[in-house]
Amino acid sequence: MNRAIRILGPTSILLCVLDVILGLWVTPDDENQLEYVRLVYIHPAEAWVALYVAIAMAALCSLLYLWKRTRSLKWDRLAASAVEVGVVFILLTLVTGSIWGRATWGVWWTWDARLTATALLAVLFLGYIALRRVPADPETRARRCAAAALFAAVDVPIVHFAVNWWNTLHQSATVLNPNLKPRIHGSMAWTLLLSFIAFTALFAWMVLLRYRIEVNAHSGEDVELADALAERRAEGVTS
Amino acid sequence: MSYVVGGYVVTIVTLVAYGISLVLRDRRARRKRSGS
Repeated sequence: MNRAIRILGPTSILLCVLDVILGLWVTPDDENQLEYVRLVYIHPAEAWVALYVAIAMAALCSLLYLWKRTRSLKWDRLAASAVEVGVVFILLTLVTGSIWGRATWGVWWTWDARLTATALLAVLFLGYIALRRVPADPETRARRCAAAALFAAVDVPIVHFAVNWWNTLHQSATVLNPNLKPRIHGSMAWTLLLSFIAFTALFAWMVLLRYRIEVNAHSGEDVELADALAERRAEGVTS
Repeated sequence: MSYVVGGYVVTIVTLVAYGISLVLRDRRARRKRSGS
């Protein structure tokens, strides 16, 4: 894990810098969206990380925790790490989307189905973090949080298919559309692809770092717990 | 163009700030662990 953190950190930062340079100075303006198309090199990648990668990881780790055969607190800690980093990305998705909306639709916010479902997911993520702060023993907390993560994951298909199910203001998928025919080409397409890789790598680095913090923070508690148990056992022997 | 710059600035500042906070928290947690 330490090696992965050492490699992923500089690599993801380098990819993000390259994405910003290409997005702001190299790619051309769009015929319809003019210079506002440059937001396409950050906003969809942030949404990809928050709405798909983070929640998929949190849901999978939660399932692995809930399944008796694979139950381990490491899955709970990984899910918590994914959600915390996911919150940062989902808030960025909402803010950059709002900026794009102001530039192209003329409003900062509208109660569009996709926007509302995304905002709901942000609230569910924040609820998960609040739930982790409720005092409880580690096993109870892990069980509650796993259920909360799975509940939040139900919102993801709603976010994804909102543009198909309802007549929304938000544009439909540019790359992963039902015909699987990307409506973006050339340097714009490559920069968009790079943004997805860069933000996913950055997410992976942040999650691993967050997980290591969690492990190191609890190792002290584990030692204290072991000492307390040893003391109790010793008391039992003397009495 | 100010909307585009605004979007990039918000993203960069947030990610850099969160990244630094993670690195500092990681350092503190490792120091605490090696000290305990």
